[in-house]
Amino acid sequence: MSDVSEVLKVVFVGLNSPGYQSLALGYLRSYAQADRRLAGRVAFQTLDLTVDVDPWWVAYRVLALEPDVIGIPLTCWNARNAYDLCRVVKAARPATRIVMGGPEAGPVAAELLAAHPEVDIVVRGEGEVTFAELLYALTRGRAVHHVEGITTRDDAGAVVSAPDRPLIADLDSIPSPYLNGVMVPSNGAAYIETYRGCPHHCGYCFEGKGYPRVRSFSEARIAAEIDTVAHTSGVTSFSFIDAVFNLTDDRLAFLAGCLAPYAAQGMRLHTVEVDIERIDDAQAALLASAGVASVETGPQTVGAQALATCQRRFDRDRFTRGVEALKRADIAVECDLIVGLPGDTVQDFFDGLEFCLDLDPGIVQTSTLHVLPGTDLWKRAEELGLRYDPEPSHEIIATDTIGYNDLRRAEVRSIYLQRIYKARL
Amino acid sequence: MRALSVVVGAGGRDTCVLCRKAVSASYDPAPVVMQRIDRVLADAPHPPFSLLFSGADAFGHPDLPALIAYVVRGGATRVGLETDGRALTVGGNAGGAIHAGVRRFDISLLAADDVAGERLYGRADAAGLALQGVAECVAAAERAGVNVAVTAAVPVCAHNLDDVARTVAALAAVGVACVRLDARDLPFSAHASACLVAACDTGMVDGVWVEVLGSPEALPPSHVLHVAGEERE
Repeated sequence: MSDVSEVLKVVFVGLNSPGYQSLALGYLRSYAQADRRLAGRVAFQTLDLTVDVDPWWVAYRVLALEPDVIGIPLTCWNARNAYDLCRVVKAARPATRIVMGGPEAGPVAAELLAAHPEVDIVVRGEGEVTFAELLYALTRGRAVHHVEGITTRDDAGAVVSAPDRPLIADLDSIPSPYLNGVMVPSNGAAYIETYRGCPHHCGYCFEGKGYPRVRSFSEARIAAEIDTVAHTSGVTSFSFIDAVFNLTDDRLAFLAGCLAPYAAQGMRLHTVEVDIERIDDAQAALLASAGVASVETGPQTVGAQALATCQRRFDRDRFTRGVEALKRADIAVECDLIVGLPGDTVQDFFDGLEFCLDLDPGIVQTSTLHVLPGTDLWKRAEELGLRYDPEPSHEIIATDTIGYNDLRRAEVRSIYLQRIYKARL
Repeated sequence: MRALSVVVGAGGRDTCVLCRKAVSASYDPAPVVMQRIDRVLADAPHPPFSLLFSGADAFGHPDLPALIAYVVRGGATRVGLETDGRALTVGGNAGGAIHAGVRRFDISLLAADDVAGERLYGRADAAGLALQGVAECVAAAERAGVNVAVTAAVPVCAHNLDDVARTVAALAAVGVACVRLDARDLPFSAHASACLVAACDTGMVDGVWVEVLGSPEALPPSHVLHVAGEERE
């Protein structure tokens, strides 16, 4: 055993948006708990909290558990609170090893460690195997900087990175946190992941996390998770975290087949993300039979230059046909737009808003660009003239085509237009 | 979804009494208004419609409930009406209109408070009542659990120009979503431009969108986005 207590106490801390559960923590814990090498040597606890809780009170709860290791998935939304939390925990209990992972940590691992002395270790990329290997090294008292996928400090305090870890070839090797009871689905907050990766490579998005290809869980695993979540008492709605729910016709048909019996009993799916331009009446009917009440989609922008820069396709007619098909199937569509994409003018943004409002999709949601670590826009920010806040949540400050003040004006005006749009019977 | 406008009458709208004499309101009979609605809807592409009762203060129309019911039956999902705002404080008008299906209230306001308003309205309580009406409308919508949008029109003249930023702030404080500064009758000057810019910036700080109706030259290039464009419903 290492220099920590006899049983390594690991606390997973989720700082989620209200109404969400952390599937990432469920996976991390499920995989590590199933590792026989850690049995009897590591004890796990999870604090699945929300980002609106004061970090000092989160620290109070964390420290009450006297952890040897805490693991925190970092996103642009929770990073500031997470850093506050870790600073307090480290000061109060210096021996606690603080491990971070997730989209806000992995792509900037070395920079993060340089800027945040309270953080000990960053897990880069897919975390399940790496985190379990890290715990194994800790229980054996071994140096952790050799663990693939880890960035940490060596004995001299220098930031060092081990090589990347290969992607998990068989996603079913990650035990389902729903099937093993690590996560209890809660109504409206439970998410199922059926595959990792994204067929699109939009420049602003990290949903695909740089994975070169789509990898799927097995159909048997997916069906079992749906069955478990849908049979959980009190759960009448849940969702899918997949980047594209209608990835292929066959896959959509399979999912609809799994979900239809529960939809017939009233189960509903909310805001699944779809490729709207592939949706016709047949796909809309499948979505309706699956209990899909609302979907989320782009276009994000209609500006030709921004579309090209962000590697997005947009066909106005196909998009319109997709929305109309979903409306005929009584499925609400959330059309998303981003202001501040490279090349877009304010007029491009409002042209997009006008296009979406004219479709009367049900929901129109606008947001300001966040230049997220690891994305193509983040890598090319200087070349593209994007000035953004280097601190999370990395909101755009100005572009070559929209100044700071006009970005703020676009935000305020779009909020007004959305209020008018929502004011209906 | 552009709002289709249907006139219910004429006159009666608040104007600065120092600039011109107020004109009494007159209302068209309900069958006439219904014929207008039919014509407007016949030209509209398909439901759902956005429809705004305009002209005179809609709350003064004796058959307003029937007119609202008529357009709702016709497929309008966004029904709005123009009012002086004071009518929203009377006899449960705000809650009643929301119950009937109205989701947009476009009020008019000349001043930020009764002190400034007395001179412009020619009565002491008009501005305060209009702001109170908005607050009651917002509260009624919250009680009913529905989304309602309140917008405001501020006719700008030489007599309220210096106070227009404060008027925007007062409207923002009671929950207005957008303020339209009607500066069409305002002679262009550097001072007028500065006051309008200050009003736009006040709206930005307070989170309410301000647009200016009038000559595009009324605002400097830095504020061109605030020039009123095509209004969306």
